[in-house]
Amino acid sequence: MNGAVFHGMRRIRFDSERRGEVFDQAFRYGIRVWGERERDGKTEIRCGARDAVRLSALLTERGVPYETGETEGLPALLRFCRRRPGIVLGCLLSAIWMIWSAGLVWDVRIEGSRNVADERILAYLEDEGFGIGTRFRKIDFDQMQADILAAQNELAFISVYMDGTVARVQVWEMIPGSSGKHPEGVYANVVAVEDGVIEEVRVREGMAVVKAGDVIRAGEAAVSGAVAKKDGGVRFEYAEGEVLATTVRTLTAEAPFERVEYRPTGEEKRAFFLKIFKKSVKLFENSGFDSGYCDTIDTIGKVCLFGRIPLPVWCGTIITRETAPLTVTLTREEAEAEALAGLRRMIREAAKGGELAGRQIRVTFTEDACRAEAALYVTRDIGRTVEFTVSGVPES
Amino acid sequence: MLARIPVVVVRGMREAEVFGCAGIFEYGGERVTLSLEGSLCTVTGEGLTLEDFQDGTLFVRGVIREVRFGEGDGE
Repeated sequence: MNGAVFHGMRRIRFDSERRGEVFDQAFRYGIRVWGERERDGKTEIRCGARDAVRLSALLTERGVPYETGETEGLPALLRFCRRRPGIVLGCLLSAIWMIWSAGLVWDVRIEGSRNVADERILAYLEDEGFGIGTRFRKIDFDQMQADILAAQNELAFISVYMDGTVARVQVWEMIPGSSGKHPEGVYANVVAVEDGVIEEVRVREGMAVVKAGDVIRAGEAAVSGAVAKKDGGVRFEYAEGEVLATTVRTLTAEAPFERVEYRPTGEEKRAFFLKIFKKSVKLFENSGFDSGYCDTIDTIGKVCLFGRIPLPVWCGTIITRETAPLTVTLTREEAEAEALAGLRRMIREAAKGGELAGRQIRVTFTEDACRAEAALYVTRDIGRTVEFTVSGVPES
Repeated sequence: MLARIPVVVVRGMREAEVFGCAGIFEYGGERVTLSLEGSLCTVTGEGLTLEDFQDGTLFVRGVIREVRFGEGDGE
């Protein structure tokens, strides 16, 4: 019967009264039959396609009326596929795609991160050449993990393993302030990155060499890694700490009375593309303007199957809008408002990471523009760790 | 050349294996008559079917009530 699947099989129907004769012929000539069924006075049996030809000839010789069905099994499947080559091609391409893509990373999932953004962890992985679309079978994961830990100081532990085609990344973050072990002979000072007046020095390691109220210049040490010992000697440490100081910064924003702006004309064209793993494929682009000034807007979204299963496929649109230059003239009030708005943006940016202690703003007008100036007083941590090496000095 | 001796093995009341069968004389749901070398073998019962032909051997399966041997030429 197994051979019949490859060569094909046929059904033969005959009157149940002639069953003895049919089975006798089949038995005498070594024709294997199976699947006997009786319905409405007719008996149906199955046999191999080649045996069906022999049995049909025997039954015809003996005058037994019968009916045969179409050949079933592999020959029927091949006949079906011959008439529909697209199905065969589609199955073949699907099989090739599945085999090829089974060695690619489809998704990266990160667990254990709290303060370190997932994008940063993905960036660390990208620096090591690992990400969506990477062929992972030849990657030395142990070496990659070691390289990532050596290249940064935000993560204390990272583990990357493959769960099918999904890369699972587990991380433990460094505790703030604990920078881990330092190489032998390497020490550090904490120096100021800009001028300021010291408000407070918080020392974790090392010795403070400034105090509240002192003026410090950029580059001067605030926390020293060379600590005097009671017996007169010096011991070296890897200084760590925060140096809170009030700094002064001058900001200027200007708004000219006349300027050229580029305004949309209303003409635009769109291009659509598909990104699969790391390859981008331009799909089509509608017609539009060919030259001139323009703005471009990119949007891209990941495709999710049934809204829940993310695929390594992205759909994107590039919208290009034509613009034309236009000369705009501002009144004094408009120019002042614009200059102050620009100055406020600069103040927000400059005060990030610190506390705004005070500011003084002045607005002046020239022949062509309005100028807004600000003196900003910000209290922030201006300390930066600077390493140095000491050799030939015995440890005490 | 030795004469072939037909052998009938009945297992329980469900299966009869017949060695040395020469042909099928009659085949019905309640009666199957097989042609053996120089005689006939009749199996009666209910729901009888013939299965697994191979080289002079076949199986009679179903509820077997009686196996009777009789004289005859066989075909």
